[in-house]
Amino acid sequence: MSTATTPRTEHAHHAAPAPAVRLTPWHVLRSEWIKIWTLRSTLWTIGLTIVVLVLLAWAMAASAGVAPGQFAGGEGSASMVYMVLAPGQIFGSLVLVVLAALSITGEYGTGQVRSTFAAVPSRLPVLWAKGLVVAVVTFATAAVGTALSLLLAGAIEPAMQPDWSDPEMLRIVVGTPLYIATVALLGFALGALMRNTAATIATVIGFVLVVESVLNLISWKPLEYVRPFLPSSAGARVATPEEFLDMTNQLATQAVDLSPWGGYAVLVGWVVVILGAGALRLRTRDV
Amino acid sequence: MIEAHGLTKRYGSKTAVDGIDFTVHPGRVTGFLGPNGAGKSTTMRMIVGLDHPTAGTVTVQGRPYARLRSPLTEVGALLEAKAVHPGRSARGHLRALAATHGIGDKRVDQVIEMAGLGPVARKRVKGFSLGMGQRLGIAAALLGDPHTLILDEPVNGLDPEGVAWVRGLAKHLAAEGRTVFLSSHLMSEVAVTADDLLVIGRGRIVAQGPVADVVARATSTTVRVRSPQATELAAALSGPTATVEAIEPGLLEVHGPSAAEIGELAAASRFVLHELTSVSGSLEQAYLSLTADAVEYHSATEGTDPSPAAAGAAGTTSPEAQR
Repeated sequence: MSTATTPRTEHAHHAAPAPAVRLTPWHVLRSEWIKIWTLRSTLWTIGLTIVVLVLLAWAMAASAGVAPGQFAGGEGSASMVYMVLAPGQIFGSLVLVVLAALSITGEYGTGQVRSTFAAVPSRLPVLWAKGLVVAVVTFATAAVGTALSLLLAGAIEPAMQPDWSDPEMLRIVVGTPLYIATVALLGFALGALMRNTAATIATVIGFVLVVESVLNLISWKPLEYVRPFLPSSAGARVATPEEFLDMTNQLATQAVDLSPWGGYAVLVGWVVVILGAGALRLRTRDV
Repeated sequence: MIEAHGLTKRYGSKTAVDGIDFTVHPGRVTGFLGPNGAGKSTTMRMIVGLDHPTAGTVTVQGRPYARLRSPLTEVGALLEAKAVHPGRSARGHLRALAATHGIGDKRVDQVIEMAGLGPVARKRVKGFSLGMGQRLGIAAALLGDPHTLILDEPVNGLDPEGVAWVRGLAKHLAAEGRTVFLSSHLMSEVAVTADDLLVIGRGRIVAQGPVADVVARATSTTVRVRSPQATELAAALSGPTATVEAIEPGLLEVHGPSAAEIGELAAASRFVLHELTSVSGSLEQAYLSLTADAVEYHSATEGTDPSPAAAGAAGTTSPEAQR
């Protein structure tokens, strides 16, 4: 049907691009790395997170409420260290979940996504690369915040210097940034699925802060089967010593007593399922 | 080379692009012309895979865009100004896009210079004017030194210098053998740049081919007649094949018969003629007559029925617009 107009010289005599110029997953990863560091909000959020984590640790160490010997482990025990880190686990995950969600919903909100997907029309590499960058950045931020928190708390209150011979110590110290980064990824996955900043942040924070807390308070029998599988509560087990896990279990009975890493696996499962749904939607939807 | 076959896009019950076929050839500038809402942007978005066609296919260099191994070196596209995160600097935005293909910072700085963005390259896009955003979008399209350039309304918001730059760029790239496809809702804009025309109205192609052919097919010649006996002459001319309009006392515009036919009739009827001028149709006139039935949004002030005849009568004969 096309009334073809006279084709002229088909041969373009401009220089062929250098062989290195090509779309690859590695290049997409590099692009996403540049993207996150070229937004001032990234630096602000990271700085704020670290500062507040340290301030919270300082407040915990300075307050007299934490007396050595109160917990099974005593001085330098995993439980003592957990006391220092616990407020930061909540705060850090709430702030970094926003950073993570914005990294993808911001693309949709601003129209940037059309530039991005015109450059990477297969789209999925963008999702994986962005997810990886978000995971690395949030983990590193939380890890630095955690390390500084422990150093400061130990300097203020010697009883809070980690005793690395405690078998749970490594899990709590590594588990804290791991939990924070994984909750952030949950926000990222929801952002990929929902594509809207306000809806994503309201959902993830509303769920973690409100829904999970409420469900943990209601002593309705069937909820015992739900509680172990709530993403944030389950994931937090990896950064919580057994002593506290037992206390939680007494407060809100659970049908299944997940191990710390089992709980973390539940959180990872949520991330994988939501990210998978986001990936399916990404492939087929117009932007 | 861009080829579309039966390309269709429906949003619910609304058909934005209705089974169109076209070929955009390399080495030429092809103007994509149509009124607002005719389906230009949707078509362009389908070419680069942002929108998925409801039916039909569109390929670039024989392949669907999403299958290209190196999309940015094949196709550079400006689809809307400010498809950019406003918090990023122009240079940051371009670096991130370039990085997806391993294009280095040297090329980034090159396109910044080409687009005249040097002084604002490190400023955040948030504060950019429409014209600056447009330049940034064109710079992004040029990053991969692409074989095919797709520009949606590229001169929107540009200053005269920018408009001249885009026109020159389009012609230059086409002369190098590249495919240049640019859309506009202004015939006068496309006419000075394009070699070929693709005219779309209500999602259908209403005309395509070299600019002169499209215009010739769409325009009817108008004859301007000045006579002290204009009223009597008008009465004599009027008939099924001619439309006569009195522009001012003593001046008629006649559609249908040629100047020779009018002159002979005047001589036979012994009318005095002071002027007998054949006025070839203008581009705008051709455009209006092509798309008159296919205009999606009529402006309220127009008020009248924009039939081809009415549109034709409204067409002015400014010398710049004549072809």
